[in-house]
Order: sequence, then structure tokens, then C-alpha cells
Amino acid sequence: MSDAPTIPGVPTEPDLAAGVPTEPDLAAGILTEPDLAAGIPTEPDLAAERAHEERSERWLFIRQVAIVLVLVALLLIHALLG
Amino acid sequence: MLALDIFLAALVFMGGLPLIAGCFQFGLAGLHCFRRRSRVEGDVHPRVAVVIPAWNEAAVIQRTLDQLARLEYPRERLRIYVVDDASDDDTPVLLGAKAHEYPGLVFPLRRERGGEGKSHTINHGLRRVRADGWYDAVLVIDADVIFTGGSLRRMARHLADPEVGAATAYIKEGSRPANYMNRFIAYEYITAQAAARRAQNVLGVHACLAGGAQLIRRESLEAVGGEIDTSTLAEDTVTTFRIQLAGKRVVFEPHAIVWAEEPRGVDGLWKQRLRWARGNIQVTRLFRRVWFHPRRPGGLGRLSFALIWFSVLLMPVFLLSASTGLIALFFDNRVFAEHAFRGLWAINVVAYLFITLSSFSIDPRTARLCWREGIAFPGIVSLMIMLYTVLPADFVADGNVLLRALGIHPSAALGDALTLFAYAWLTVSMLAAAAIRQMDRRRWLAWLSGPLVYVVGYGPLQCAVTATAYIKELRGAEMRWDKTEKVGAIGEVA
Repeated sequence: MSDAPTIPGVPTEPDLAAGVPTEPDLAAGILTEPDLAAGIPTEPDLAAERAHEERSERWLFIRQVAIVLVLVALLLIHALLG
Repeated sequence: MLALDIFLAALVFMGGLPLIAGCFQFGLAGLHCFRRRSRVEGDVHPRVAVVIPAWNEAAVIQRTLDQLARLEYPRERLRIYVVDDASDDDTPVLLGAKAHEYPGLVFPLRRERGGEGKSHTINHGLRRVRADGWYDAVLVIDADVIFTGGSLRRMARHLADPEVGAATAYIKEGSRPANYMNRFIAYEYITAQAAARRAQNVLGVHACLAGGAQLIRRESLEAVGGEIDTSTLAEDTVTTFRIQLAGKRVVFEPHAIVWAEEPRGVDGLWKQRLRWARGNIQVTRLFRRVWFHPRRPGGLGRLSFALIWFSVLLMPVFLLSASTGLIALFFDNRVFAEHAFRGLWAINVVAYLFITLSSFSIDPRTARLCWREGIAFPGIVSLMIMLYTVLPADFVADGNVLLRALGIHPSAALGDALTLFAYAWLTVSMLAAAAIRQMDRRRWLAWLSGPLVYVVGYGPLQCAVTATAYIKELRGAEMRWDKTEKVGAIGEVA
């Protein structure tokens, strides 16, 4: 363990060992314990959220294709009926 | 004569250009899942300084601040600067109470001499934010907007990519109970935001960060001079253009939902949109050296972007062109005129079906609220013309038989009058929309304006506003910041 004096707000060796975020961590936006307590989503939550968003965008594409196909079919029927 | 007929037919089909541009955008929106993604999108929480311009916002500001305090975002990485633009209602008192309730989060600022407009108020806040130097990004929002829990977090993750200079959210109309105008706007925002901005994500170039939700990276704010434009009525559009011209990308995050309170009547909508339309004309002039220069940074000079921009900006010109061409053809070559008319409206029918069905598909939840307004968007008169266009000629002839059976004997003169009316409708609809606005301003006629918007159409109303904006700009009319009245009508949001 370091003998360096403790500076207020700067994590000590035991803090770092216990996973307390460092200044660079905080600057990069790493979540703290109070954040997590406040309901800010964790990595697994975010991964699930992103997967849901990607899926909804893919469904949007599929629905657009279906709309185009229906419109083409309607145009063909209209043309056939004169 | 053939050359004249072809020229007139070309005028007619210019009326179809905005529709083709609309279909182009909706086609691109469907491709959003294949878009060029941000190079890095991560779970980042940059220090965000929120700047809120507030002038007499007592009815809405408390809820806006409470909602921001509840965001799924680390509290120590958020600061909210509310710039009170010399309000003379309870806004200063309420802001003081909120600063006490949220110490270290809410910072009220006050301009003792106000009335210069929203952009000056925002700049007051930006000067303070830059002086503090604490921020990584600035979020400029309106005083009435309600950010949903994950909205800022979803916007902020794009800033993990150093190429992204700004991000915006999906603004939705949130007034509850929603009246007819709120529902028209709710539908319009599916087309103008959820669809159009997805399309712009795919193209890699954006026309405008939504004024109510502009998240701007610090470097980008500094690159555009640290303040926003005060010379036009479209400061958000100018910021968007400048960020892209400075070499950074702008992105739209469709899953970041922000609720806003929009006008509840024709007159309120007219004032708001007149400001936007005049702003867009001013922006077009301001960036005149950018258009059609594909090598300009940010993609703003590309033809595809010009198609999107000018199809909206020049819509009244296109509609006037179509009506002029049809009426001239009517007196020159009736058979050719009928073919051109049917051709133009056939494009209308296809575009209408594609855009309406796509809009319902893009945001089904909102569509459940406003599907009637989606169907009636072009107006009942235009829908009847579309129906006439797609019905077989025999059926139309049978219709005449039906009229005779009812004792109505359509004469040739009546037939000509109806034909000319249909040919002129695209232009007449704008005049009718302007008349509805005048009715809405008169208390004893205002009750009629709602039903008449369904008859004439919300689309023509927008075109009429744009046409008026040209007239105001040509006359050099005073630039007035007619603030949209907010009463705190946004309902419960998820």
C-alpha cells in the first residue's frame, strides 16, 4: 500500500482495489454507485435496449417493403382493369 | 403547338416534384437500419450543460425541470441553466424555488432587459456556460419540452464518435386531450421528423436540429463561434448547417423521445410556421454559395439534399406552376389537358398512399391517435379529385347518370366550371387555407376553421404559410418572434 497522503476526492489504493472510479473513469462517464441507485441503466440493460431498437428499425424496413409490394400490386390491378 | 403543349405539360408535372421528393424521403427512411452508423456508439455520459430560454413560462417550466432532474443521466454530469428573459409572470420565483430544490443542478440566470428574441436569450446562457468551462456538450431546449427518461442518454451516446458534432431527438406533439390541430401536428411530425430525419441520417446530411432538443458537442459549438445566429428566424437551422460545414456530422436519434406542446388553432400554427418558413428562406439566402456544390463539406451541396430542401421551400411555386399549366392546356388542348391532369393526380394518389401508409408504419402508436388526420392531410377536396382520377371512365360516366336520376342535369358549362375548378385546385387550396386563417382570427367564425381544415387540407395550409413567408420577405417585413403560447397541456408521458 502506498504511504502517500490521502487527498480529498482522490481514490486511495484500497478505493481503487474496491473499484471506485478514478478521475479518468468519471471523465469517460463511468457510472457511480449513486447513479446506479438512481436507476441509470447498466451495460446489460443498454445492450438489450440497443437490440430492441435495432430490431424495430429492421421491422420498419420490412413493413416499408410490404407497403411498396401492395402498392405495386394495386397499380397492376388498376392497369389490368383498364 | 406541340412544343407549347409539351411546355405546359412540363409545368403541370413540376407539381409532382414535391411528391416525388416525399416518396424519396420515405423510401430512404425505410433503409434506416442500413444507415452509416456512428463509428463508435457507446455508453458515454459527457458533462451536459442544458440551456433553456424562458420568457413567461410559469405554466410549464416547473415540470420541464422536474423531468430533467429525473433523467436517466448521472446527476453530477448535468447542469441546467435557465435564462429568464425578463419575464413578468411567476417564472423568476419558480426558478428560484427550483434552484433551491435542486442545488448544483438548476442555475437560474436573468436578463433584465429582454424582448430581443429567443436566440439572444440562448446566447446569454451560452456565454455563461462557456465562461464556467465545465461542459463537454450543450443541450439547447425549449422551456415547455418534456424529455423522456432515456432521451438524453440515447442522444449522448452518439457523441462517443468524435466525428459527430451534434445530435437531435424525435419531438412529438404531447397535448392531451389533443384537439384536431394537435392531431394534425402529431401526424405531421411523423412525416417531418420520424421519417424525414431518418432519411437525412441515411443521406448523412441534416437540414435542422429540432429546436427543442439540440445536443451540441463543445468543439462544434466553439467551431461555430460559441454562439448561435441572431440574424435569421431559423437559428437552429443555421447552427445545423454551420456544424456540418465545419466538418462534423449531425445525427437524429429516433428512439430519444421528447414531448412538446404545439398550437391548438389555425392562427397559432400560422404564426409559428410563418416564422419557420421565413427563417428557411433566410437560410437559403445566407448559404447561397453552398447549394448545388457537391464538394462543400457536410453534404449540404449535394443534389439529393437540394431535392429535399427545395421541394418544401418551393412548394407553392410548384403548385402554382401545375395549376397554370393545366388551365392553359384546358384552353389550348382539352384532351391533352385531361391526360396531364390525370397523370399528375395519379402521381398524387401513389405518393399519398405510400406516404400515409409509411407514416402509420413508422410510428403506429402516434398513428392510433391521429389516423383520421393522416387520411385527411391533403384535404377532402383533394381526396375526391384523387378518387375521380383512379375511378374508371365508365364509372364516372355512370356517376353522371346517377346525378340525372337525382334530377341534376350537368350542363356543359357546369362541367367546364368543375373541370377548371379541379385544375386550379392546387392553387385555390392555398387561397382557401389563407381564408381559413382569417376566419380563425374572428371569434364568430372561428368554430368553422377546424372542419374547414379537413376539407381544404393541412398540407395546403402549410403551402399557404410558405407563400406568405415569401411575400413578407420580399416586402422586408419586420422579423417578429411571435412566441407560441404554452399552457402546460402535455399529458402523462412514458
